[in-house]
Amino acid sequence: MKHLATPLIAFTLLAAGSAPAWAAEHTDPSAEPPAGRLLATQCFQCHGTNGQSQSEIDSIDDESAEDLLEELLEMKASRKVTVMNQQAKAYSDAELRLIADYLGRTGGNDDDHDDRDDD
Amino acid sequence: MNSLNRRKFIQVCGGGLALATLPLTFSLHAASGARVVVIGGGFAGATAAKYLRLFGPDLQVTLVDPATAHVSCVGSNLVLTGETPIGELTKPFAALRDKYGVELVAEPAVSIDADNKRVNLASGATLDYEHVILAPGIDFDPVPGHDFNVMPHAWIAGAQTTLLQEQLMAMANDGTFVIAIPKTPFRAHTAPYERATVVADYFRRNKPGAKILILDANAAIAGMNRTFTAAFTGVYRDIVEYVPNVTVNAADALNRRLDITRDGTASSVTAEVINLIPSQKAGKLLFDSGLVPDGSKFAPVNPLNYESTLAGFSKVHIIGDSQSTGQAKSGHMANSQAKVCVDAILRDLAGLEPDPAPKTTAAAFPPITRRTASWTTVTYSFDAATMSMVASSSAEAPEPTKDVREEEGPGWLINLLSDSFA
Ligand SMILES: Cc1cc2nc3c(=O)[nH]c(=O)nc-3n(C[C@H](O)[C@H](O)[C@H](O)COP(=O)(O)OP(=O)(O)OC[C@H]3O[C@@H](n4cnc5c(N)ncnc54)[C@H](O)[C@@H]3O)c2cc1C
Repeated sequence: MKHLATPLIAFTLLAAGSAPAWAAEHTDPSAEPPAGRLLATQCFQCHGTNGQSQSEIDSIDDESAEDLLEELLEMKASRKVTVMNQQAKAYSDAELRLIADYLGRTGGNDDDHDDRDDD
Repeated sequence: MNSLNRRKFIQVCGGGLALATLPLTFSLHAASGARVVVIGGGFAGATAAKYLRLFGPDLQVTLVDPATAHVSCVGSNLVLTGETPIGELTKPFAALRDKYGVELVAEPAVSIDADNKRVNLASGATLDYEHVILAPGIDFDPVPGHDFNVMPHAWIAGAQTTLLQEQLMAMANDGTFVIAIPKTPFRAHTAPYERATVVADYFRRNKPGAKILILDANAAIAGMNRTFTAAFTGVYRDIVEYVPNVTVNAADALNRRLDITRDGTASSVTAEVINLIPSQKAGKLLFDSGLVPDGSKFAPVNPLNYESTLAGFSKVHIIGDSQSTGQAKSGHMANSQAKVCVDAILRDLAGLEPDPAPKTTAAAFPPITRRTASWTTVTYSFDAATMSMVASSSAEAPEPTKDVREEEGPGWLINLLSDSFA
């Protein structure tokens, strides 16, 4: 992890045991925001804060960066008119990679939410 | 009260309570860094306050809003028909305090003193800031005679929504419901037409014989034209009459009458229930603070950081429906802009320039019937040549479907509300 946690936060992370990676990554106020974060936050209106959906819409915090990128590129190329296919078309491949890398890096903590739909 | 006292007061009231219930990752680390004041807790302001603390846990974040909860306009057309209880759309600000450590101040802000980096509150108290985000939403320019208690706009959700609901429920089975739409730009270009389809469906099932007359100041349907043209000329052709190019000049509350001009000819319309949506402008706070130039209705900002482009307003940011970038005025978009603004403020505090290539999005999933809904989405990209956000990809559903009505639409609303307010 590039951004070092402050001692206080490190302590609370230990105490919490399963604290999410993004919390630690964002704690240094003087550092540059992590690459891809701003773009990735635009996914959260539909997919939930940090990609953890509270509804029947899929969560996106529980996949690897590679899987996410593959899906995003497929959506970008698809001719079918859907919300996601249309959204994906607005981003360059490099931007999609930034988003996938950020979500792949910060997600993966399935235990603190319930992913109701995984189809 | 001077600003120091006020700050102390807020810290005791807000901060103290907050610490007890903060998630571990925020506790103890709160409130030593820069103070950012957010004014207005709608989709724009609530999202900004939340994400400031989420991504900048050192920041002292204060949210100023006279209400204790925000009532979402998004989804509120279904309140009119009784399908959604208004409580489901009412989001208490306490969640932002308890989960993220946002300090709450429950009174209106009256102006910004940008020279002294200070917010003036209605009580006379003040709040000092390093950055301030203004998100007061919209205000109205009503026509003469428009009494909101007789002809509700229901364009700010809450008592107005319930009033219009009551009027619709009480309407005679063969009554007429008029929806009068102002010229663009206004809040939510799809929402007046969504209102028509949702109420038409309700009439069909509950008030056979009732009609809807849409008087549109615009030359054509302003949002999701294909979808709503199909609905008004198809499934609702017996219920909805759509009339473009109608200007409302005055309202007569006593006689429930609108004086209108259509294609240069003056006439009048009376109806049992009239939803007169006034022409819109930025929240009053922005005019009172000098953030809207003469002759304009909304506040000019730089879309990379949403800072005012007027001289003398450095560190003053405006997001949501109040600003004039020309992006869709929508809740989804207000949330989107909040994230861009927060990122730019964090960068500024770290001595960095804003992200040079932000994206923003808007979306809506309007119900067309009890069983079907449609959708639209648009993504904006920054265009350096014009220094503006340009729609780079947009679409409208090929046709309304059951899935969107039952899953995508409700699922989107739940996540949008929780990403903004919880
Ligand atoms: C019927 C309807 C349907 C809609 N449907 C959709 C949809 O499907 N999708 C979508 O994305 N959008 C939709 N919208 C649009 C959406 O509701 C608005 O675009 C959105 O609310 C704008 O957010 P905002 O934060 O700018 O303003 P608001 O959400 O209006 O929030 C403004 C807040 O500022 C506070 N405030 C005002 N003045 C002051 C002051 N002086 N001091 C302190 N606080 C103040 C108010 O109390 C309020 O809480 C719809 C709107 C309507 C009317």
